[in-house]
Amino acid sequence: MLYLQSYVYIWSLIISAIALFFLWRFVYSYIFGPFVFLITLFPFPQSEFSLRLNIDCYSTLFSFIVLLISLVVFVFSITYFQSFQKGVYFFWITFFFVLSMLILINFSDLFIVILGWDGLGVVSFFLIVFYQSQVSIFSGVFTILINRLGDCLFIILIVIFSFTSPFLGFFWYLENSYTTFLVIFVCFMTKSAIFPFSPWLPAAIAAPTPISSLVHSSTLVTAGLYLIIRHRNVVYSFESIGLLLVILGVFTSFYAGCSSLFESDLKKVVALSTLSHLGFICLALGLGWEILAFFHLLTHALFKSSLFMAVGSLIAENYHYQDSRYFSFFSSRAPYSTSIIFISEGRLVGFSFFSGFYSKDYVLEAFHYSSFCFLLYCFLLLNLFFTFVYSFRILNSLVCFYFGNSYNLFIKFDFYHMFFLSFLSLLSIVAGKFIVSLWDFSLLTIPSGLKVIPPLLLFLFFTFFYLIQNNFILSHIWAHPMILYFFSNIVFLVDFFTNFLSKVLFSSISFNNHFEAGGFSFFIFSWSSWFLSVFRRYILYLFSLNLFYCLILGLALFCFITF
Amino acid sequence: MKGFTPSLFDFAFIGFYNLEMLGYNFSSLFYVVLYFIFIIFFLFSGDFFSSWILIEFISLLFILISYSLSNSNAITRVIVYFVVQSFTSLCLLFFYILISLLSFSIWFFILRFLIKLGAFPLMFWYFQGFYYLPIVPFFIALRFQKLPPIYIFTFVEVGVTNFYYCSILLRILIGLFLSFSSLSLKVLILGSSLYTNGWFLSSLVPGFSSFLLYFSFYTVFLILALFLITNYFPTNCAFFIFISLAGMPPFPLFFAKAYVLFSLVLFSFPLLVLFLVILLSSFMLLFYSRYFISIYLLN
Repeated sequence: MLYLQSYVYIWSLIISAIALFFLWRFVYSYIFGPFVFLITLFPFPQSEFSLRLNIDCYSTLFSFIVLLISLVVFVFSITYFQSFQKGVYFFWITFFFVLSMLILINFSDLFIVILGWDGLGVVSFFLIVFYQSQVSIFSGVFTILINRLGDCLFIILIVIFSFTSPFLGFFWYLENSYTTFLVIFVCFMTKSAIFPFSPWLPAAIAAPTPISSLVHSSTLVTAGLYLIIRHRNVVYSFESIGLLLVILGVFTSFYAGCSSLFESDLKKVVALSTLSHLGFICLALGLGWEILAFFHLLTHALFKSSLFMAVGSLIAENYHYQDSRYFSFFSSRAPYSTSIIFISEGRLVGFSFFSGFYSKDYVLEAFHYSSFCFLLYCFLLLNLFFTFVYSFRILNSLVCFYFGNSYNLFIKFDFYHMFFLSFLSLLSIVAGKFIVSLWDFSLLTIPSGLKVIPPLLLFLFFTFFYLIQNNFILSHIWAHPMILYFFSNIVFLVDFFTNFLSKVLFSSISFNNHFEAGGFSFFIFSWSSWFLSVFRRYILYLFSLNLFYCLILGLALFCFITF
Repeated sequence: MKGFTPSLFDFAFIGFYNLEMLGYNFSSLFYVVLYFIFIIFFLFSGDFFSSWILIEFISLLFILISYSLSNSNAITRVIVYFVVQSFTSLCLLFFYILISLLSFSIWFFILRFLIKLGAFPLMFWYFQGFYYLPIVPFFIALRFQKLPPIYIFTFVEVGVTNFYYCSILLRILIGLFLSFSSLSLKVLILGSSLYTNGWFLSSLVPGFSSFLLYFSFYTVFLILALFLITNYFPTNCAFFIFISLAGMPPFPLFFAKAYVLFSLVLFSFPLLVLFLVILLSSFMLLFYSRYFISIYLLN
């Protein structure tokens, strides 16, 4: 314990020094503009291979925030890991995680960026399987496989850009538009868990809580979105990317909000709220306001990390039970953590003059300026409504008394942890106003009537929630097993990625028996029955999805047509 | 010295003494050394006839190695491998005469090449022949027995046609399907060697040097994976070995693959085939993952 403490304090000193360096570089680049630090290593076949360190406002500010959060996480994990044997192992792995994130943020040469991009994927596997249970190994392998898909697409991107770019970086020319567009889009979506690739993000909560607060706030999930923001000149040169980003972002945040209403796992609710915020950032990118997306990325990183750490300390005090029904009346037992949760919930909802207020409202106001149809706007307002609901559910589980254990573990937290967490939460209150003062958003003005809609939604929510709580029929429809199954699977996506694909692959075993002997017998005897069996499974699966996806895809088509 | 399990440190100072403790006799080691000497001779041989003789020597030495290392039980099953190899090396001479004197089609030569390597359409003998080989002959058969036919194949002007691209993709696909059904590590490695045949073919397009680079990188990691079968390694290495076999970026095999990819781009390889090759390689990690999952479970 003492050894671990001294170990972490030395590391935290080094990290804070690097963070201050990045803050200094941010001020420098804010005043004098961006510059590139370049060392040419050796010439590559078509383009030179170099270390190209881009220092601008985006990279310096984001790496400062990442280092700040990782500092608090390091200090938090002293108390969290005092009962574990593998503390030092954990610190080294986390160090490599932060290092690969910094590589991803600061370098622009693709061959270097892929090291950081894939270092995140590999190291996150080790972090997720830390507890070595069946659940954690499942989610770890699931995460690394989705990351592997994104990594393959990134290699394809390198191949594409090695044709065109003189420095092996993101470089735009008009000839290979369509493939490049698709590859860039799908590649970044895998890491940021946008629609088809989202189920790894709620699964990744099997990691220890300090790591979840690092992964879900600032490092792993924001990598793809950050690269879009960074290389916006390339990405925005595609015509239809705005529409795709907006529709997928709204849809992602919509179903994440839906499923967080039915979730009783406290940590998973917070993870799903991360997913909905990622959709929100994606929406801001699609509207063309990459600076607003970056702003929301930063504020989201700050409040989500402090929320996760407070929730993690509650979970540690509750004997690592994560079910929210066991947290009844915890506000009196752990007042400090609960107050941190209160503050970060306020920022999450967008309480006035907190940081979430600035970043969220600007995105909403920017949406009024776009030419998207009214249906998407309704979806967006529903998302806000869900945000109110799940943040209220978290608070409700902490304050109200339902049932549960009357004992809890008393963990004396480190003084530095309390200090840093208070600092972080205070910073994330102030950060919104600070960042707004850096960039001028005065162009965005809307009539005051539109501004009233979110508070009106709040009242609507309270009546709705009251009805569901007290009406006998409504509460039974709400908790119907089909609905619960649908949302706990994240709109069947978990089912698709695990059960369905494995069934299709297992049906290939008869196929393999033929092909081990050359495959001639397969083509003579059994190809028809094999294809039939696979297609039967596929069609049955499609029927099970039918109801929901026809609705959603129809709505999306409608949006396309009206647009 | 029963129960002696050599560590990684012991393998750095590998010698006759250590190997004899593991059950290898002197004669087999003599054959192994002679085998590699002949491989080096083969790589320096210029004309067709001398290279053919050296191939015969090499396959003879391989028979001696596997004979001296395997039980009487395994010998009867290994015979499939020898029959196919000797048949194909006879075909080499025969088809050479047919092609050069009677101007037969080059397809005869290609068919013989496919049988010898156990590549996609003609791999009917592959799993039967390889599975019962002991580990050292298994490794030699997977790697160094494939070097001479590929080296000879570079001299034949086949031409990079649509057939070539199709065969690359089919090998990769069939290798993926077969390695999926594996229940033992040996079958997995056999399936993945079918898969890497596709990579070998694509690395031959720029030239023999890029093939050798990929080949040597792959060989090192295959040795490490085969040590896993014999349980000489601490099993914590399994994750790194398999993840580098799958070609994840921070690990060495990725750089070999990246070199091949960049040189393929220079030689105007069709991009669609290239993208499919890269994307299909993402599935390989799924199949390798079974063998490193169990390390991270407590029970």
